[in-house]
Amino acid sequence: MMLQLRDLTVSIGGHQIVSIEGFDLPAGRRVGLVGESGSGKTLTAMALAGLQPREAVLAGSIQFEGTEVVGRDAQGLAALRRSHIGVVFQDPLGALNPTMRIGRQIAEAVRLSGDLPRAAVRQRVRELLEQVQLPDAEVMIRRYPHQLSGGQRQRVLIAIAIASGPRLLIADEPTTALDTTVQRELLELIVRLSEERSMAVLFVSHDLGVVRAVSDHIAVMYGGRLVETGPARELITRPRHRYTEALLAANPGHIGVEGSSPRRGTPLTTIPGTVPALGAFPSGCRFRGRCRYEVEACTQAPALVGRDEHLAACWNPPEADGEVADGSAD
Amino acid sequence: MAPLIDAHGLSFAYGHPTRADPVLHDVDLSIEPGTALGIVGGSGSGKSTLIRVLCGLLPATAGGVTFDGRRVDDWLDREPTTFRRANQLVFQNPASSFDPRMRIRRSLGEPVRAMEGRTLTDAELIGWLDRVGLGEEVLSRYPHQLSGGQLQRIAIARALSLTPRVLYADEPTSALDVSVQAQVLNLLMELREPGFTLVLVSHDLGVVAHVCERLIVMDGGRVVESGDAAELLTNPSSERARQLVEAARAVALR
Repeated sequence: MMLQLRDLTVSIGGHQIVSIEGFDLPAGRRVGLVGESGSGKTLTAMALAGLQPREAVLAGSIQFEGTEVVGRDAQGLAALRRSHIGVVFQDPLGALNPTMRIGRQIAEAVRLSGDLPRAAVRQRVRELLEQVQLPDAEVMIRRYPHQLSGGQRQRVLIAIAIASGPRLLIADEPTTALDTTVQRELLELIVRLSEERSMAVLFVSHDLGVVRAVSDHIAVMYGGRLVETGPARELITRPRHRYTEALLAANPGHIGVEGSSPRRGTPLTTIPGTVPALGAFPSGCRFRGRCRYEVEACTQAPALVGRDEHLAACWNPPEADGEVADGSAD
Repeated sequence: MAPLIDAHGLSFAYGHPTRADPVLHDVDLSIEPGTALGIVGGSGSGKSTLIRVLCGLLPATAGGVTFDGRRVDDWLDREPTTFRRANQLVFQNPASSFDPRMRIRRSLGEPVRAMEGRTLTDAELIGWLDRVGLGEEVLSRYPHQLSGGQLQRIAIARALSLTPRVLYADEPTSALDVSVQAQVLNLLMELREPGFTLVLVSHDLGVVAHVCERLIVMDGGRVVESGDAAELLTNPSSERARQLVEAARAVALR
């Protein structure tokens, strides 16, 4: 297994923010990590790359190709990231140096992955620009970040992230700030790069539709816990956790082949209440109190169980045939 | 039916009126009362600028807008208060729509105080909050004590307190989580009643398609397509609309 999490917890200021019993990411797979604000998805993704905030305390185990990440020193983590993990963030302008030309910023990443003669570095930068489909390499390498569009900047960041030929690309909301048409091109680029290089992708987003467009598998987080994981199509058509089901129902009209939503103007299903404040989540299932299908068992923490890689931590899951379960306990 | 809002040859440029690059070029538009109109387009397409010109926050550099049959500049000269009350806006980021030092009681009452010179009674304040699904306990809160979804609903309540004829909502759910977005969209749909006009700006076709029956597509400061929402989404005729529909389909869930 390329990436293996066991009993991982991430705490900040005495609050345990993330707690994941187990999660595996095989080589080459694209997994979408979905959750709303405060679900812990970004903190989880950053912990995988050893990029969690300084005050965060990690416990448990994250193994990358058999090497333990938790407890490693900064140098060890940097070496791991350099050779195996590329990271792309939401805000490309903030991630690039505004005073440095694009060519130099990519060259810096190329040099970090190995000592190369100058001409080879230059050649590699051009190849990377081509791979992220930025035409006119000669012009592009002389540009400063402010001279590029948001989509172009994000392509530059992807070029930097893949410069070392990583086995895993972690992308945290990489298209959230972009136009929908640019978003679509970038999602296609990420899928293509992943396929060409057999590079696994952990794609973090609040948007199930965006995640669905890039991922083979989806993992849903709520309140710092993994509540459901499974093959993308199956998880979306037959969710086994009430939270996933509720998230899907809250999505507005789908632009299907038949045009606009047949449900136009009809109320969307909402999730009652709001996400509790840090440290105020209920015991047992964390979705308790907002779930319409609560049963007595929900006061106990549910385990992530299932078959055929489709796992859910729900005591009263949606029925496979789509029938609404009886909300009362026996 | 006579249009409520009518724009002809509308252009707008930031900076020098003749030398600056125009942000809006020659826009024609007419909105009948009671419609929910969606405006879609990419960033920089001019959709936010367009609604700011329509509601009189920015002056047109060429062409003109009429509201209820009278030119907007005429309204602003003679009856600015009536016009402003009738045309209300809600913005994308609810956190920056509220003065962080004011309790909700004061923020919510501010438009009526400014426009009508009177203080809303508790019963009125609670009535507006009830309209957007919130309880009176939020009155004593400061903005930072409320969630983004709660603040956006209060921003809508505040706009409604002037009983506007048109509500312009500029990306009202873009900063919100999906489950909260659903609450705000439901609220906007509930507000629909005869004669109440809604103009919803969004980059998200899924959102607009769920709420609006008419659509206009903007690109480079021009209206490149307009029409019935269902028709436009099934059968986009301009290249730009087709791209937007395909991009939305690529991330559709089903």
